[in-house]
Amino acid sequence: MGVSRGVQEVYLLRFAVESSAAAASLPPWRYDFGRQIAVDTDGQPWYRQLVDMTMGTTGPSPDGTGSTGNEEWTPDYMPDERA
Amino acid sequence: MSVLVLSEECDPTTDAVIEALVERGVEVFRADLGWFPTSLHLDADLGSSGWAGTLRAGNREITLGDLRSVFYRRPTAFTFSPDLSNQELRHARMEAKLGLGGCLWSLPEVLWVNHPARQADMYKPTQLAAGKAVGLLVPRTLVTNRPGAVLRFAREVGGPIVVKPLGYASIHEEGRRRALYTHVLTDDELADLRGVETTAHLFQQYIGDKAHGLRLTVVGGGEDSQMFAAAIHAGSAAAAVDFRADYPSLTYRVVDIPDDVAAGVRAFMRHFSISFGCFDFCVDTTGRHWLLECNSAGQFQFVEQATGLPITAALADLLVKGAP
Ligand SMILES: Nc1ncnc2c1ncn2[C@@H]1O[C@H](COP(=O)(O)OP(=O)(O)OP(=O)(O)O)[C@@H](O)[C@H]1O
Repeated sequence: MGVSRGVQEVYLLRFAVESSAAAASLPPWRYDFGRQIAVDTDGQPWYRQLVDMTMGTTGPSPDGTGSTGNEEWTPDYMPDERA
Repeated sequence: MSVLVLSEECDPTTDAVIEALVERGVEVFRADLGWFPTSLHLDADLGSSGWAGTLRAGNREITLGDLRSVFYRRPTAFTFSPDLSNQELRHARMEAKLGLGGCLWSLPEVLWVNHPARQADMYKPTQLAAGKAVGLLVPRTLVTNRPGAVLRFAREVGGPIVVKPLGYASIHEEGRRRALYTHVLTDDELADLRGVETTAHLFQQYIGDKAHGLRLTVVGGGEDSQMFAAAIHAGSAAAAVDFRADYPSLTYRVVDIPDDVAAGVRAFMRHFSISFGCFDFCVDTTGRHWLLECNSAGQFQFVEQATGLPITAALADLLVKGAP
């Protein structure tokens, strides 16, 4: 965890910190259209590889890196802001 | 009878649920809204009992009338041709939203877990107000863009207060993602409130005598809903404030929840018409349960892996069962 970088425009953002979960890179995967799930390089279900989900991260974030929490709330009727 | 799953391709929580659905022998159609219009195709016309027709992706097709439930997780935005101008893009996006969204959202007798319009109702302040109205204990909370109001609030609370996001718990800065954990404000930080006026901010009474966090995952929206409660014990100072700051230090334990909390949670779910929710509580040393929030599309694999609570199976059963 890093430290705050001084005064920022938005008060809350002063308290943004480095996070090992946010930086964690996830094992490689690809989407298997036939099985409708992500698979690892051996074709096995990818989610089973994330055994350390309890440790480093609660799963992937929308940008593919580790999640810092339950960032799945979609504050709109449709996710048109999440391009 | 079939189940529609709407989520992005990278969603391991959904993968586990899909496998459980396949084991139960039901037809599953998974798609990301980001596939529309290039590789997800809608063909629906208005019949006597709502929109009838098909959704297609590749060689897979689903009949809207056969749908028993929809698992709505975290689909990405529609993806349009890069050749569209900004004006065209805005138009196309709105048409897609109203067209595809309007047909799907209105399907009769389909169980939504959860309906996106219900999820859109769940702004954090709305949740806290609803929680209070159904009798759950909610920490004192201030939402403001006035620095002076923060000082007044801090005085009235008379103890430490936290600042935390109303929405996403992280921000992209200079190509990196930084986390926005719950932050207990020091006196120095309270003395310099510049930047509060830039937007809405949420301040809250800090529950300092925290015994542990509680993640309560609820499957089903009725009286027979299943509640999976896990106490999250922090093993470090950082995790004691916000458990996400130090995952390796955490330990989990299956616990029971008091009847009045369970009743409040059921009433909360009825209020928002949701049939799945991940609730975060703080439990203090006197056993009081303070509601922090409910995530209507929350992650639960980390709880399931740590405790063995059969959340995925319960969710798959709910989707197979469909609307009550
Ligand atoms: N008022 C509070 N007093 C004590 N601890 C708190 C308070 N609010 C939040 N926390 C702690 O912060 C962590 C995250 O809480 P919460 O679920 O409210 O966060 P959030 O920012 O809404 O996150 P997300 O939406 O990503 O779940 C938990 O460890 C919780 O115990």
